[in-house]
Amino acid sequence: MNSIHNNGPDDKLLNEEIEELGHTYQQLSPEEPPELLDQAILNSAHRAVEQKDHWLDFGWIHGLTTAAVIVLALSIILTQRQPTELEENGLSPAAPTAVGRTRPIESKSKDEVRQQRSSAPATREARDDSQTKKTLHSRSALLEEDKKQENMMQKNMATEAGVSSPTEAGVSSPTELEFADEVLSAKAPDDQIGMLKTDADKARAEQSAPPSEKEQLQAILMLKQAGDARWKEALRTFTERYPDYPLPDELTD
Amino acid sequence: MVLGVPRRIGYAAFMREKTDEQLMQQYAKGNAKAFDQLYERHRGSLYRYFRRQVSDEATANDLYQGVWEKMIAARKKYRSSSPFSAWMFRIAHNHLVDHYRQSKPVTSVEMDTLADQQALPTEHVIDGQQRQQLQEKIAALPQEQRNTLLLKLETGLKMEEIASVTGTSRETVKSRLRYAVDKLKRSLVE
Repeated sequence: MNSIHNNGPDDKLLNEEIEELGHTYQQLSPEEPPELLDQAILNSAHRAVEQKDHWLDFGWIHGLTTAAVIVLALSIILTQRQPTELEENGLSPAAPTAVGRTRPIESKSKDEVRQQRSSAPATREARDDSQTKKTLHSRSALLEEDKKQENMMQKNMATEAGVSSPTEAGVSSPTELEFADEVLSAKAPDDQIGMLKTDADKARAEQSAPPSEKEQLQAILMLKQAGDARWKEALRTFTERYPDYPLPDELTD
Repeated sequence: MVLGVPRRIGYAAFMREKTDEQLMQQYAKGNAKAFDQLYERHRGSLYRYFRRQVSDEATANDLYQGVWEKMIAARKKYRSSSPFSAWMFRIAHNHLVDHYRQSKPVTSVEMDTLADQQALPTEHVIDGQQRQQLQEKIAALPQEQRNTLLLKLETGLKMEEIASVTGTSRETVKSRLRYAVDKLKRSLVE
């Protein structure tokens, strides 16, 4: 027994006496709690912790759910804000509608959108000062944009008509090659259609149809004349798809 | 450290094992096995503390279980800055005081009288008889003296820690220990 602080002779004496008493005390019958009591206490202790653990096991679900809800809400907000911003900036958010024939126009339109997006912060700052002006101009800008698209479409159609005779076309320009690719791919992307905003665009989308066999052959011919090696693959695909369609002499060589 | 918990598991083993404070912290974080170890270390001393304070075994059992329940409920409030034994026996002491308040209080005068009546050994006693006598004499001590002495004998706490547990001063603890030891010594020698 040395745990008593010695603050003098009295403490020391007391220390020795308690130590002596302690030796006798240790010889007393070691009474212990009943086993049932032990079990009850241990069970209670385990239950208290297990309840906590059970909650912790599923705690991560709450976090995950919260994160998922936040991401979903943000994505919805951004999706809804994007077309509104484009409209406010005087842009038509929808890509040109005629699938296949209007690809160059669409590309141009996307470039413009990118440019507009990159300059969006500055536009937003200026927007506060000229909000009314923008509102007035946005309508006319939309109309102008629509007109531009129609002009470009007409130009493309004219180009297409110009190359309808493959022999006259000579070496195809890059735009024509893109057009040929587009004709061969012959797909009407759903996302483009989904972006259509105006009724006019929707009408154009309805008019657009997959290219005819003749158009596809013209496109293959253009590829061949341009020296593009893909024309063989395209021709093979065409003959597989339309085995009974007569091929022009230029392609049967 | 002669008395108290560490002596029962051996010094080397004690050093290898985790301390009471670490075990209690682990239990507070959800490790149920830490509590098992802690319980195994302290079940005897705490049970004897109550068993030798209260004559009725059922009451001692209730008090004993009640203290453990309180410790389980208060596990997150435990701070390792104070020794676990001191924390545990503070809860036990308060629990016992509550019990005394609810039941009929036993005055020190009554206990002293009882002690005097029982301290009548005139013949030379053998060890077995002496041990039995000691148990009886401890039970007959006044409540405060018995409580202080049992805290000292069962836990090995320092006087300052016992003072903290019982809410008294170190001098009061020393005084109670002095009276208790003198009475026991006198009665055992006679």
